[in-house]
Amino acid sequence: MEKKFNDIVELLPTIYKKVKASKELLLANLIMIGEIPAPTFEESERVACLQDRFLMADLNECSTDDEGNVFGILSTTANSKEKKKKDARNILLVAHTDTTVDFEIDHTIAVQPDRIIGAGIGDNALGLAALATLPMILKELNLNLSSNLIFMGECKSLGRGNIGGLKSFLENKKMSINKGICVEGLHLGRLAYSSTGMMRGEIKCEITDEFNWKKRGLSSAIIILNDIISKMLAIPLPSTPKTSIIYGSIRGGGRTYNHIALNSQLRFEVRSEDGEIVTNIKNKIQDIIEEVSSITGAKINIEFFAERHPGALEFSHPLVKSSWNIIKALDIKPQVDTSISELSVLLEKNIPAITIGLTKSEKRTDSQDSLKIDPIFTGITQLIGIILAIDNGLCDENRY
Amino acid sequence: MKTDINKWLDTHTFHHSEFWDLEELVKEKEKKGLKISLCIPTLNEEKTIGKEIVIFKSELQDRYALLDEIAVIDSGSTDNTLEVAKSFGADVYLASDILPDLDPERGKGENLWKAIYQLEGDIIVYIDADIKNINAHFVYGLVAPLIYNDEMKYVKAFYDRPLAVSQGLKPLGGGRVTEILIRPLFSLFFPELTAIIQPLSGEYAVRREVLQEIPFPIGYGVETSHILDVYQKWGLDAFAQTDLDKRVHRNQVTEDLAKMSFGILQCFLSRVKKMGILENLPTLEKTLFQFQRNENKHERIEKIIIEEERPAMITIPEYREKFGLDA
Repeated sequence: MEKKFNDIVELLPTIYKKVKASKELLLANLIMIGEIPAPTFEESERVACLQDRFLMADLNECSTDDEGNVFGILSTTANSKEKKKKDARNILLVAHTDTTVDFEIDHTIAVQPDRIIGAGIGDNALGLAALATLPMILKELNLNLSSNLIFMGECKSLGRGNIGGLKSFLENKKMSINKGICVEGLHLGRLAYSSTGMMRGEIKCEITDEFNWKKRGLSSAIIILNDIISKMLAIPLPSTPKTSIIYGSIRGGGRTYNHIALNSQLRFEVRSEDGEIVTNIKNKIQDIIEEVSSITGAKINIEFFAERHPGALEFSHPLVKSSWNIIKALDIKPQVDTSISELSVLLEKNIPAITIGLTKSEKRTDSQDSLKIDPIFTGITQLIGIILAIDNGLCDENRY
Repeated sequence: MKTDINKWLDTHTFHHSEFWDLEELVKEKEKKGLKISLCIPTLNEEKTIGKEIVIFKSELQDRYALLDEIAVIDSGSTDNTLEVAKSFGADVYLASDILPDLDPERGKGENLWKAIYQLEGDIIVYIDADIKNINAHFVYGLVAPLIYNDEMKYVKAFYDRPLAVSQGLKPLGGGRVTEILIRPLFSLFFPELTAIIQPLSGEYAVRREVLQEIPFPIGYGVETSHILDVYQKWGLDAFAQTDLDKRVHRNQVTEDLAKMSFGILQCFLSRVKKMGILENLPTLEKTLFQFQRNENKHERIEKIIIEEERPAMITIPEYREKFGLDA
């Protein structure tokens, strides 16, 4: 018989206990997965490790696809009389396998009684470790789900990967996906159910050795890029719908004080709640590039390599409401968030989906995350609670 | 009779990947009724101990019941080593609390020796606490040859030993004391023992019947003296060795390696003297002299290094009583 929301809330303390009892399994999975470097496009070793863990957890149909994603299915255990197996819901649990941490960074993870420290573990080794450990916890809980859970370690998600792994899966999948949960290490309490429009670009300026150094202001690729940035900063951005340009990375020159910089590079991201605004800004940036290029004679290339369209569930959507209430029932303050990652692709395909986080970070730098251990148990309890809500039909669109 | 070294290497050298099937390994362990204890000797290892315990408990107790106990035996850490180890489920002991009626000694060998009394296993596997790239294969790779081969008694680890250095991993360069001290000594006096690729590795698994019979230097010489004692009593065939791929650990400065070499030489020479191989050896000095530069002067530094030794555990009355050896 399907559970009511209150029945699920009553189960949460029991779930929490079982999750906590799996502490060593969870941390061991996090260590084993997180110590394998996995920059985008080079995730295969981490994917292989995750596949081993899926196999050990007795998931069905453990496999990788041509793209390099890894899958395992926890098939419904519901009695066929209660619910026909072919009618079972398919819930996709997805975590990306790639990181922004390069190979040369030390990936060693340190474990303290209350926290775990390592490169890129919040984004997203913890999400993967949760997927690797979840089948064991569900087995211990003996929940008899009437849905199929599809566990997916997604490759090619970040940067130029452009969520390629998930896009490919959704294009080629043989089964329907009823709901999606994107699992991220950080931050516990976040609940994303909308995606902003987004476009990423990279501008590269090059000048030649023979460039005339006497031409004031034009004698360096850095100065040319600076000119471009100044013009980009002058683009008017509306506050409603929320719109921003993130200047993420800049490189240039790199030899000595007295050598003219022959090249420079800017990576940026445009975000807006309105897709049309993103397109307008894109056009304006292209105009800027043409203008600066023609004035300076420098070779300036712009490449746009990732684009997302805005999309959202209503706050009143049963998936959002149920997730919100599960988080609150665990004494966590829910934080509405938007996402530009996996969630946007799922929403674009009309698959109701959310993104949640699993723990809190104590300190975060480019190369080290320090994650609190105790909140992880709440984070995974939240995940199981939401799965139960979906499994019991509490998140179906026609419910109200 | 001399052992054919090449043949020995073929039959007594393993790679941990040969033992990947932990389900099979645990079945064989249970069939033979063996108990296995893991001992991690510690002194101020709070940074690495948690990870070791988590990995071993998760993979070799919760998933596969290979280890019957995971114990940390500590020399008196002043940091949170014991608290961290305990919080992740290890049994923790202060070496000074074990066999408290004996005069206390401090050193890694003391912890290893007291583990024989404290732990219950038929096989004890020793793993250092400072391994950064710890993995379950560090334990099962060492224990498996003993589970599958009744005639093997002492399994040592060997590695392609990278050192943790500032600019990533350096592929070779570890085992300096082995290459410039131990292997030349073994080549001179015990050529067969050169087949042991990394005699000084701190990771090994040993049957209780062997551990209780051999004395334990408590300082730098414990590994060397074990090899000599086991070799003398049971021959080269009692040994096996497993390739554990790589071990990332803290590098030691040359001055410390000199102290280590001095301690090892004390143990080595006193043993060959006892064996009657070297006669008329003078009394061995206990002071190591090193030099340091102080502005324009060279100063001599003296370091006293005494290799104390615990007797074979089987001679300790409390041990005989605990394990019913007098019955």
